[in-house]
Amino acid sequence: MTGVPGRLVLFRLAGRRCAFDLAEVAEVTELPAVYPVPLAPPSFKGVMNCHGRLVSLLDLGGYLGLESSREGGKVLVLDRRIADLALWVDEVERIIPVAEVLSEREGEEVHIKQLLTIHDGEVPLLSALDLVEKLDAELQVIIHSPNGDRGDSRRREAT
Amino acid sequence: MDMSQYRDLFLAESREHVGRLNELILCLEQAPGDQEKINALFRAAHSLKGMAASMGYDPIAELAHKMEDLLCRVREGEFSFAQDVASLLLEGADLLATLLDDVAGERPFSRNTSPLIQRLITFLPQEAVTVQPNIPSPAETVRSDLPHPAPLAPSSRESIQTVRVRTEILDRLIDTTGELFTTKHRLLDAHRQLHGQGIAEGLNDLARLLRELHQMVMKVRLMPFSLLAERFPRLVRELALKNGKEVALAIDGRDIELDRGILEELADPLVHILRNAVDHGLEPPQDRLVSGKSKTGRIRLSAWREKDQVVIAVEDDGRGMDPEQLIAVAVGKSLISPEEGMRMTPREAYLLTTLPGFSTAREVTDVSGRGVGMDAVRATIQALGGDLLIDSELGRGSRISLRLPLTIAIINVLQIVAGHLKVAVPVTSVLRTLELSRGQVVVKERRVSFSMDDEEIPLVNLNRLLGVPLSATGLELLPVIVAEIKGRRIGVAVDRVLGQKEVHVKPVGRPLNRLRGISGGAILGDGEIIFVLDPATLF
Repeated sequence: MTGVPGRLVLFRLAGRRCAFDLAEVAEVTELPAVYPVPLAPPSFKGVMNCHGRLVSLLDLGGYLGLESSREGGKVLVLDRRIADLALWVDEVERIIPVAEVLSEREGEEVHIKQLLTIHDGEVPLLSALDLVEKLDAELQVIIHSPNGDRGDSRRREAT
Repeated sequence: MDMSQYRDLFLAESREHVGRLNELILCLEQAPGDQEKINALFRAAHSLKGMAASMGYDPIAELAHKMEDLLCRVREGEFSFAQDVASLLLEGADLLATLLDDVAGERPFSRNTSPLIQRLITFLPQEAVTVQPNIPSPAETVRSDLPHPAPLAPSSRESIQTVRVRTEILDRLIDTTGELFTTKHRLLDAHRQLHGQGIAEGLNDLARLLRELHQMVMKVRLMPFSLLAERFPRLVRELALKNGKEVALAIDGRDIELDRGILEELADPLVHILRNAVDHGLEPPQDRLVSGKSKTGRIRLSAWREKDQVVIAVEDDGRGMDPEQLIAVAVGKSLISPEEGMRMTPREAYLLTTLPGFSTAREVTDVSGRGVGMDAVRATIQALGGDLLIDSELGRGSRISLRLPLTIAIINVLQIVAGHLKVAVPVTSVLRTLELSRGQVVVKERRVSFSMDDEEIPLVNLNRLLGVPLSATGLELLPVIVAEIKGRRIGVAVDRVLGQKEVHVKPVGRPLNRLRGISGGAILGDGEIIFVLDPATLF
């Protein structure tokens, strides 16, 4: 396999199975206490205390526009070299070695690096790095206005 | 053999030596006869040569060696330490720094050292050519067999009582202590519910040990101001040469210790302030003479402690600022109204220079590849929980003071509530808190304001700024905090003011660090996380 990392984390998101490169994930935890983040888009569920670091929690399903009606779920904390970001997903299935990947093809969406075929179906391999870069760009243009609306409009007088 | 662990140590020590080279060269330029400094300079080059040779970095070793040889000639009285010697050695220090960057980047050396080495070998001072025509030829003077002084005993600064600690370990230490505090509070809560007698003593001990550990960790992060200050003599020298000015920079308070995080953040603001002082504050030598001043302009960079704060001031004896003129410029650029200008005190007028858009394009200089204006300087200082003050006297000079917390981690904040959010604002940005009755709020042409000290203060609602629903509190009195942002006072209506608290501010990492309006977050004793707003970008 070319371009496919050594091991993958398989997880579920709104009924779909997806994967991340295990190297991009630092740990998997239960849903911790989270506190709201001012000015952040609604897909950010809040911020959590991850070993003393402030790590924001993104509802990955909600962010990708997938149905998100779960309770509980699991949290994938990304490697801190990528971001101080954790992703809220429905369930973490297992970790598989790359040897289980039968074939791969180019992903068709922005976050999907590749579509991998394993013995029981096709799994989109997401890229944490691409996801974070997109979030960076989106958060950068949020301008707050005294009317409470947001967008990339020009900054207005706060009166 | 894996040399990477030694490489880090080599780089750290070599960079210290290069910093010391720069500092000493500039000192010697001012006082060429200072034998002790010549010896210290020699030792720095000598140590660098030895370390580089042992690591196999031959170009670095050779360059340091030839610099050492040149110093040897100075030490033997062949010529004095004049400006041409200083300039050549500074070039050498620059080249060494570049080569060290290459080592750090694990890439081949990007610069050829031969041309400079050749110039070091063949160096003939101007004074020697004209005054001492019979000096020996360079080939004769550069003798590699000259006895070098025996390596000197390490100075007290280098004694084995200090160890190097990687900064990420320091960061991790502070995170761990913060987490321990939270854990302690959780245990305390559990203990209260259980009424377990035996646990109480252990918890008390834990609390005491934690406090001690925390204090130690904070101390470990403190670093002397000199680490930052040592780069400025060189900067000021070059700026002065470029501007055709004569400048003497004095530095006081090198030993004052600050959190390393604050030191890192202060570099760009101080470069900008010093650059302003040389470019705009100090007059050209002729103008100074006409004004009855000495030809050499003076800049003093000082650091000192005031209770739990550190003040860093940059003072010059230049032309000073005219508050009337500043107000006229700000009105001309529609940054303030003529009425606002008329009400301004001189100190408020000086702060107009920190408004975005106040500086002309020429004044917004580009530092380290980033445009840093006085507005960015002020925003940085406020984000650190500090404050900036400007004093000036026309014809006598200006002083810019940065008042900073001693440690980056602990700042005093005002906790406030807006809708479902509990947030904090650094106390240093709050002028006062008050409660307005509905009748005191004036709405005119969709602009909301109130009157304070005979001034019309614009009033904004924090809930709106943060995009949370307005609260229907039905309260007759509206809690308001008054902040000074970019030289202007502004009222911010909030749902509730909870009071002050000392918090340990942590940075928000990627991607939340892209959000404007947030400067950090804090984990409270009960585990709750609140965000610290950045008034400079939010209000």
